[in-house]
Amino acid sequence: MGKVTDIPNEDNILRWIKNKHLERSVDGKEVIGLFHGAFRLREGESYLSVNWIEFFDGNEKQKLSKTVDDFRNGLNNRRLSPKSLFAKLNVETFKKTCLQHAAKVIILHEPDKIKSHTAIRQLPQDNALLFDDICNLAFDFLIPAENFLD
Amino acid sequence: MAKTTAKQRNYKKPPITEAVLEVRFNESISEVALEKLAFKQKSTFTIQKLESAGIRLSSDGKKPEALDRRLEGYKLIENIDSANIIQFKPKVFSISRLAPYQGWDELIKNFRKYYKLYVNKKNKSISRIGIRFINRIDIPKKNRKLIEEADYLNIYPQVPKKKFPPLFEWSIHTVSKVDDSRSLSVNSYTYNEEILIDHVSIILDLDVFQVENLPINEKSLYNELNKFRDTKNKFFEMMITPECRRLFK
Amino acid sequence: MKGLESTSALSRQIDIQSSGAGKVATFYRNMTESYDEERTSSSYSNVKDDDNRTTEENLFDNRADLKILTSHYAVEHISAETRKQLFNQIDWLLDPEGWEEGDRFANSESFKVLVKFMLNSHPRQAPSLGLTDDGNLVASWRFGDNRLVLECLPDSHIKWFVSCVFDSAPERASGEVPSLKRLLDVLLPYKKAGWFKGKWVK
Repeated sequence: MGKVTDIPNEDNILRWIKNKHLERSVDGKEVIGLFHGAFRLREGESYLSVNWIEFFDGNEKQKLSKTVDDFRNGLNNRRLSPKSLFAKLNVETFKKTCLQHAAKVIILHEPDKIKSHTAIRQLPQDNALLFDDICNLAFDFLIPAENFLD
Repeated sequence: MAKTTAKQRNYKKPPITEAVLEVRFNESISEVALEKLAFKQKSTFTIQKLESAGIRLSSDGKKPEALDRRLEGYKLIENIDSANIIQFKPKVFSISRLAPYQGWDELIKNFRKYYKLYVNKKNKSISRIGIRFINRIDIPKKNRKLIEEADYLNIYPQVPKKKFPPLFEWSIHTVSKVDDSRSLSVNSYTYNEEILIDHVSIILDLDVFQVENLPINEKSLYNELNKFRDTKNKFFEMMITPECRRLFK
Repeated sequence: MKGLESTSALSRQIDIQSSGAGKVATFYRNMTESYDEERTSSSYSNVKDDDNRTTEENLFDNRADLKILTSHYAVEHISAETRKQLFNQIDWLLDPEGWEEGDRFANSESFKVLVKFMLNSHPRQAPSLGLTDDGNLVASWRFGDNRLVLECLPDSHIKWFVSCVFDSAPERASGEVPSLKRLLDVLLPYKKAGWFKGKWVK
């Protein structure tokens, strides 16, 4: 693992949201929300994995594209589902949202095989209202994965 | 032969969970032909291979092992809503319709379509025909602990009226001869799981079948199946009360 | 693991049927269903071969299991429109194109809890469906600004979350209950949120 560093509050992180965590309208035509599972830890995980967008250079579009490419390196040849989405969140806003629920999270750049890999630690798992706020935050900036597919 | 009843009741909410039409034959279809027949329907159905196996269990902590695996046939589940299910077995053809029941005409129409494929223009010798309708009747308890079966059903276990503890679970199996050719098997039992709150669910499972004086061609088969339906309806209506019928309206 | 998978399929078949009826009645029913050639066989009475199925085939089986469960439990108690919406949601949730390798399939027992909730609560429409990493069904309903989210656990526990606006004031609440009956008790004050219609049986 590479050097662990703090991420500036003005920077942004990207979280991959699988199809199964997307709340679709009854007619299926649009995504109308996110389920809390999009930000819950999986069994055995001790931190939430995200990617640091400003790790890469370039304009907004280029940074996002490089971040997604980097993320895909960690998929170990599994394909990126065209039905999944990415959520962009600001670090400071994320931390403040958690603090409103008395949760002091730590967001650290922890590069490994994935250079932009970032860990969100100390995210409580039993606060449904916190997850609701995080999902609402994430819903504001969703990018379809198919935008990054060839 | 049983007479055809003039009037068929059509309920707004029939309690049918599954309706089955089945024909058994004296001769087998080969495994190769069966597989070909099943996979020809790939565009409309998803195919599941059916196998039976013995199980070896051991006391030394080893995992159970399947033995003597044998192909039983193929189950075809309709892609769209999985409510139409066809089974192709070496000596058996059957079609099942799960809830919501679409009516006899629709069921027999589907039966004819796939029966023709199964027999493949051959006049196969039939060994048994049967129709089976499995009903689930949800009876409101109306804030009582138990229901009075007699209010809804004409078939249920009789117990001594005095000092016998109330039944909260029961099961009945009967077989009777309807006429020289046809038999009726009834299985009825209480469902231990509460599906609708404050309701008791009872299964009424009717199977009308025939193993002698069997139809010798397709036309007479369809005539027989229609008569089976009349028979089934007649006995189903006999087994339920007017109060029960109100539940299906 | 060939043998185990077939054995698992057989025991799963019996378990699913065992949870429905009284134990004695179920044992009799299962034995006769599988081995009694006197009876016209239903579609439940067979063991399927689980070996060598692709992810796409397994997803179809999962979708079919949920739809067959709906037929079996709901019978005619949900409208054709709601059924159609629910099946569409199942199709989108378990679509091969959206599926991630390694994810757990939808748990049938969890789905059963959801169907029973729908039968007893009379929602205006089918929910939006999601899945947890454990394979439990997540269901949500929206009506205006009001949202209800349930996570149905296979042991009939249900986690619930509401977000509503009443008299222009937003409120949120969440909890976990051990049974469907308790869930309906807990949600009763929120019935005016608009997700449901009709009377609830107490």
